[in-house]
Amino acid sequence: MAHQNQFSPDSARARAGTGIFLGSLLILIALFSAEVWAGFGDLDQRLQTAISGLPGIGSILGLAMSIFHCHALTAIKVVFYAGSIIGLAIAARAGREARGVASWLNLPVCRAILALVLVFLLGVVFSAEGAFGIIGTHRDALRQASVFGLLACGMTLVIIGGGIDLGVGSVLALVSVTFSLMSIHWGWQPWVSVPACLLLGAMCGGLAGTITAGFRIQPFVATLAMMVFARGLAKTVSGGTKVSTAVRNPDGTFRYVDVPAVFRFIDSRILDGNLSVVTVIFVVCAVLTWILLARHRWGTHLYAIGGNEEAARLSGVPVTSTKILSYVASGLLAGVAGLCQAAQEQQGDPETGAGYELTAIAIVVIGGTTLTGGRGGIGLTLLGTLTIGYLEKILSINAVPEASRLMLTGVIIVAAVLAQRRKR
Amino acid sequence: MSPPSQAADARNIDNEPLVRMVGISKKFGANQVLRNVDLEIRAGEVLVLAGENGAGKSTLIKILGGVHTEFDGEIWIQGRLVRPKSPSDAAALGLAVIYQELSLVPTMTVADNVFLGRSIAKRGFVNHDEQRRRAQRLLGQLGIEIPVESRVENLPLAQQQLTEIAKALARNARVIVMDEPTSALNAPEVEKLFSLVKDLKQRGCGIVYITHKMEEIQRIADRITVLRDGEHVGTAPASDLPPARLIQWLVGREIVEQFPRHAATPGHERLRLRGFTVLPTRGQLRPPVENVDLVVRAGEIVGIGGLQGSGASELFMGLFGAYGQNVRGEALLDGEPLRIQSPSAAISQGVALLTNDRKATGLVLSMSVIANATLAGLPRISPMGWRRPAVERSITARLCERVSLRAASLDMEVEWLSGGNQQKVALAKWLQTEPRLLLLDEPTRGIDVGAKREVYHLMNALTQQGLAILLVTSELPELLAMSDRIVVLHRGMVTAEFDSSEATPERVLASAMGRQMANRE
Repeated sequence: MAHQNQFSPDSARARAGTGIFLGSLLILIALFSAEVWAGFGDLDQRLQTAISGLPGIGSILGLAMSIFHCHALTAIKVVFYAGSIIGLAIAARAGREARGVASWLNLPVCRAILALVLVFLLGVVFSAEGAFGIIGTHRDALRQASVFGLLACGMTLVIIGGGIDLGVGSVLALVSVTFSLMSIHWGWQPWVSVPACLLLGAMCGGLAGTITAGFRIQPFVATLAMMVFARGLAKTVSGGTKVSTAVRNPDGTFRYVDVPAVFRFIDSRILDGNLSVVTVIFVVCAVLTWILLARHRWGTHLYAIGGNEEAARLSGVPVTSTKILSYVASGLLAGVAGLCQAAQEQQGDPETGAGYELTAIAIVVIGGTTLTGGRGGIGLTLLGTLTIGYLEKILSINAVPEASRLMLTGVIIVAAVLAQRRKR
Repeated sequence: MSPPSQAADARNIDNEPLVRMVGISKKFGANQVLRNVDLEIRAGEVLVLAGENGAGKSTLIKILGGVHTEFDGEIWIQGRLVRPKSPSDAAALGLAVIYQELSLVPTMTVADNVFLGRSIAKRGFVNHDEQRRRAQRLLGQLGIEIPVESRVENLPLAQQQLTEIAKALARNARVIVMDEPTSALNAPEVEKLFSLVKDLKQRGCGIVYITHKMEEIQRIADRITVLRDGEHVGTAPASDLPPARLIQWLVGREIVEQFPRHAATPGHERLRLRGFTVLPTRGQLRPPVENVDLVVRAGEIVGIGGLQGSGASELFMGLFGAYGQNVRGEALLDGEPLRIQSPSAAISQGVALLTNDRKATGLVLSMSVIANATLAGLPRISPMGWRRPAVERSITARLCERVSLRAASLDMEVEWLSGGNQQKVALAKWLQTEPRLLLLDEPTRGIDVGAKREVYHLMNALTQQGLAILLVTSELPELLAMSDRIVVLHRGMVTAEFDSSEATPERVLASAMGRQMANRE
């Protein structure tokens, strides 16, 4: 970055990225200030004024930075943006103080929608020369979010029941490798390989669930063990390499086989190429999960266990089996995600999906499902999936370097959770 | 030791009590728990603080120990007006309170615990050798033999209790408060504790001893202060308070006609227990419930009397299957053996248990009124497991009418309901399962008078319909008025059984304190 050409598209992108970064920081500052105001309601008046000045200071800072580095147009955008954020923060505060008037703002759903709207606003302002307005961008954003969304749906079930599942990323890799092996190397038909792979995912979840619920080992530890074990199993199954369409012959040479039809189907698009099949799979799974959680006894039992396990047990809820089933469901959904992952990568990579479990947890928490269990839902997780998915997409179309993207995601998670915190 | 005649000399300046609490009053919300209570702790004597459950003993002690800091009244320590603002503040004033829940760190050694918070350290580095030596010396002086290097969690409860006392003495406490210290001890351990108490007396400590056990009061007390309903009934030398008179002081009040019990005609035998025993869990020295024989008929309310640690709640939990298979003895429900494996098995056989702590074990506070009210009976109303929201709503609405629940909405989380309304939701949950036997553990704890009356009316209505109710309550008037028969437990065993006509507060309390009734059939 020593000598930048001011007119190259690359540097324009980098500037836009800086602008985004600053703008997003402003959101956070605004959210955070609203939080701090609410927390220290009876603080000294001057101190309150000083704290509430933060977004103002932030916007001036952002303005100065943008004038220094960016086009005038971007500077105007930043000012507009900062202004709207300050407005939102003030509205949030007013809502909190005026209880009855705007108490809807305290609902987790409204907060999750608000976060999504903010991210969308971000996309509109920093549209990367109109890229945000193209349908392909949205199609890809949704497709990329779908795998995480599948994991997050399973994670939601487990978290509502008071647990956590760290194993989903590795189970995804294991299923992805197994599916590739069955479809590419062994030439199995999809109506055999798909159920077999889903069964494998469910079994991994069931094993982790049995260890944690049956033997009363903390879910963190039990699923951590599953995370390590399933990764190792994936490497064993694949022989340590990627399972791709390059098949090794007995004499050591490679021959190339066709990408299996089932891979091509999962990776295809429908509706004139405007919707990915992966997204459809995700939505169907989310709807099924929602039905189970909201309309089946099992879901109610999960909420009860997460809310108060002892009370649930004394009300006749079968605690152990209900919990185990939640891990089975999580493993099953990780299996579905594994199928999608394999089809999109057109190979089974035993290293894939590392860290996905943490993204899934982040999505669940940003949506507003509480980590302590008992509160939340699939609807919230859908909103969380969209928020994280669009944030990623917006950052990537603006060519924000990965390093800043990661940092920003970390900050956003904290801010979102702060905003989701329940008030008494 | 100085003879008592000297202690009676009012002009002696040494006679200034160690601690004087004057006119202590305390409110929790609208609930007045202490009203103008006086307490005097003198050097070299054991003051027994007596009172029924809920008389305000613990609150008084917690004020002294700096746990409750908002109260009216004065505390004088050796002529100085003080106000303990925190437990450590109280410790600095020479006050040590040993609560029933011990305040030791189980994973640390005895020596570390004794010096916890005032470690012997140089520049922040703890001198473990020196701590060990001093702890050893201290324990030696007390005649306690505990390996100072063993972890507290590995010690039997009695030794943990002694460690707690050593910790108090390491802080040079002049006043030591013990809240039911013998509740978990066996006979030889109790002896040891008593000799230690005697020893502490001789060193000039003042000891406040809270107990429910009559024999302990008679053995150990120099003076007795009695509280009742948050009021100071009186203080007298132990010699002036023989058991009969003490019980009179404890019970005191007239039972006002606030309990609308209309006895139903008892029907057939609903529940029969023979030799019912709950096996002790790890760390328990004796079974919490031992050899209980009991009969409850349809339409009858049988009250179970007992003080803290009587085993009444454990009896309920055991009967309800909450302890799984860790119960012995025979239980017949309507003449058929009750299969006790799990709460769900108990529920399906028509047993319901209202637990004594609705927030911890009764309700899922994060769920709606509907979800809570239908939680125990979901299998009955959700075919194939699929829920029917409309059906649930209408069932809940009917139940709410029966228990006269007042909630803004059936969809609101029960967390936001008042205590009385929460209790009604818990009751509704059990009515929804259409039980044959209802176990009520403290059904009116912490709810207001109006809600209490509604609960009593509901109990009447239920027994009219032929339901059998077992009732545990720590409020003696409630027990006496609402029960058709009373069975008294002491340390897990039945000590007496009364018909409502022959039950008097004095007799029930005497049995609850461990006096075997000779006239028990």
